Amino acid sequence: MIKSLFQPWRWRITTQLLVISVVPACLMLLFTNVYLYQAARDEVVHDVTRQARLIASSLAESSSYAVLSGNAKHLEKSLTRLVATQQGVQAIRIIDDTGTQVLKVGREEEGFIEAAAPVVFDQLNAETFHDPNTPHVSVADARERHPGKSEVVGEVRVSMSAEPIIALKRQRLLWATLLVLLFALGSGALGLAMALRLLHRPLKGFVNALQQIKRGDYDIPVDRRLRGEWAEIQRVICAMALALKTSQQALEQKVQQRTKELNEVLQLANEANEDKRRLINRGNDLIEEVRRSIAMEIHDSFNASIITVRLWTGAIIAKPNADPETVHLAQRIMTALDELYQSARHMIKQMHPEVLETLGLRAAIQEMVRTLDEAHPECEFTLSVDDDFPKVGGNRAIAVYRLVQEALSNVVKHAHASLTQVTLACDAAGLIRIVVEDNGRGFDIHDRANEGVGLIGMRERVSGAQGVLQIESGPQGTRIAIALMATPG
Amino acid sequence: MQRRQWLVGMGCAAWSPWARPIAPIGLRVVAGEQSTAQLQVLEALYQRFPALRTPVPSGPPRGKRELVLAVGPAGLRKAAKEEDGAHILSLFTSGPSFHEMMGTLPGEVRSRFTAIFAEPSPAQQIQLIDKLFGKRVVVGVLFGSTTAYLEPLVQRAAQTAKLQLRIARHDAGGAGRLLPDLGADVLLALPDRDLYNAGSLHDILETCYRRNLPLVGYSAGLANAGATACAYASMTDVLWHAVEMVDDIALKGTLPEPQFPRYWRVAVNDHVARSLNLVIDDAVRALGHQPSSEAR
Repeated sequence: MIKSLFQPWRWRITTQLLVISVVPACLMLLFTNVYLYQAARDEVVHDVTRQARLIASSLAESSSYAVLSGNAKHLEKSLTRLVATQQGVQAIRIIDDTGTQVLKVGREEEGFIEAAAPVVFDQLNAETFHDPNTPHVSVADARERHPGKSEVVGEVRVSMSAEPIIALKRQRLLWATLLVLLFALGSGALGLAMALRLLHRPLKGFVNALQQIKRGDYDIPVDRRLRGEWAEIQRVICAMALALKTSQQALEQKVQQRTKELNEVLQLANEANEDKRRLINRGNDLIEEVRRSIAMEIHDSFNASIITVRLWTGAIIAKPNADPETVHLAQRIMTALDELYQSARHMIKQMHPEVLETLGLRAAIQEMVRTLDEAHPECEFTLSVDDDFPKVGGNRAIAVYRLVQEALSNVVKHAHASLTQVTLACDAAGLIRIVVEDNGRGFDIHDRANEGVGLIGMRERVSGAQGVLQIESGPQGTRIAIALMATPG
Repeated sequence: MQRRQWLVGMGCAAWSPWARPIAPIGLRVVAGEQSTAQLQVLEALYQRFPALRTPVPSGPPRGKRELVLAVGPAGLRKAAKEEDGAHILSLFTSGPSFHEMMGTLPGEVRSRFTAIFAEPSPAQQIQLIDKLFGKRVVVGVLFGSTTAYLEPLVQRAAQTAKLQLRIARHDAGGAGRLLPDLGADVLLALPDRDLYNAGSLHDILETCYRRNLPLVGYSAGLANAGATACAYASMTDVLWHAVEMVDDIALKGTLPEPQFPRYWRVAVNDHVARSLNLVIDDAVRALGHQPSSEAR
């Protein structure tokens, strides 16, 4: 509770109203009372000082006899009574002109307000027939003849304390403060009750309405008892809720429309993608078919012709009376035929890996890796294949073979790697994972504009096989990971 | 200093209505320094002796006696110092002051002096006390060195009035401002410089008041200052007496003894009397002695 008071954002409206109504009044009361107390204190001190002077002066007027006679008995009683009855008077001291104390009543203390008045002895200007220079004439008023002289014969010191009066003032101020506080509390409570009655209900209604809007409920109940500004605020809130409702409905309709359009576009895209995939697969199949036909043609016709010509050339060489030049020429032809035959076989292998059909995917890839390793001694090519790697046939085996072939071809052409690792695996679900890693110089995978045809072909082939292709490349090398199902879905 | 000196041939001079022809006499006035009081006295003196206004350039006419009117203590001192051989009448000087001055002069010189004192006689004061109370009261008197010569007069006056006296004496400066308690019903004040002076008068009057002790003084000023009542001789009273004395001197040719004023009157401080619960009747206020209308 206390903590929440120091966190104004947590205050409830009631608390805030209470604080707004009470705190300024309390502060004003506090400052007013402090000022009044200080002013009263100063006034009391001033009054007491003035009173002390007045008392001292008055006593000085009547103390000349006591000072001159040294007999202050007649004053002691009245001064004692004065000290006892006059509020604030603490002590009265009468001293003569030699500093001897004639009378002291009361008790002096440090800090008392002290006032002193001289006891003046005024000579009477009556004609006493002693002036040696003026005729002794009896006149009633002899002031002109004998101006009286004044003589200070002593001093009256009055010590007063302002504390009793200040204490009285303080007590009165305290009572007044309490009364004002009680009145303020009463009126504040009344005002607060009225404020709660007048403010709390509409404010609570507004808060509820806003919370309702926050929840998305825009049907705000209208309190028809509200008048004036409250009614205006309610009208604004209702208008705002209506506007929000309209806006939300329009937005929802627009979202639905957009979603529908997007779905249609997505469907079209999917259809196009499927078409594309089928087209790619069909293209790949056709390519493979053409390759196989060309390979068969080369094998069956071209290579057969080469073999026939080689036999003929061998016959020439084997002829006993053959011209040496002819033999030599025939030998050169045989050599060229051998090279041509090998080249043709290589073309056949490239266009249609015959080993796929004879030994399967694993062996074909092993053969490919081994061949590359032998052909490129600057780079070590290794292959890792799971023991339970399944037999993959048909077009999917060709696709895997071509993907590995293209990846290794890129390594040979661009990577400048010293080590290339090929991994083949297949999980229980029949998902084949192909990973080709090298430690070459890598390339910028985001630079699609300069992407080679080989990579594009790989993407198209993976897409056609409904697989996933991931390429990671950096200065430490390149990693190409391909996942596709062992059997077409 | 301005010295006024006139020689007046009283026989040939223009007399005022109250002046009577007497044997020729040379009359001069000697006063001290000019002051307001002095001028007032001289003006009153000129009204009584108009011939004094006519200045006489040289000394007295042959065969005439010369009488000098010495005004105030200063005039008396000057006359004693400068007027060699002339008769001197001291006016407006108190008895103690006159006697003090005489005490400084040789006997043959003193014989040329006479006076009308400024203060009333003790008898007149005792008479006032008697009238004031209308019963036998105890009268307290303080005598100092300058008023000791008055003690027989006071004794005699009290005896005449059948009043009891309580006498106290004090040395000069010994009494200070305070008054000893004499146990009297009334205090008779005499012009004692050591006792009743400007410095002490306030306290004496206050002391008397506190002791519920009426004080009967010797000048109107004392009554005004706080004495209950005073017998006093006004300036007019003294001058009436002076005129009569000058006449007497002119007729007899001899100087009379120094005298208290023949004419006197009473001043009452009603506030003090009321405070002391004294009822002052008209008889008291009418007390005194004034010249007859015929003499005026």
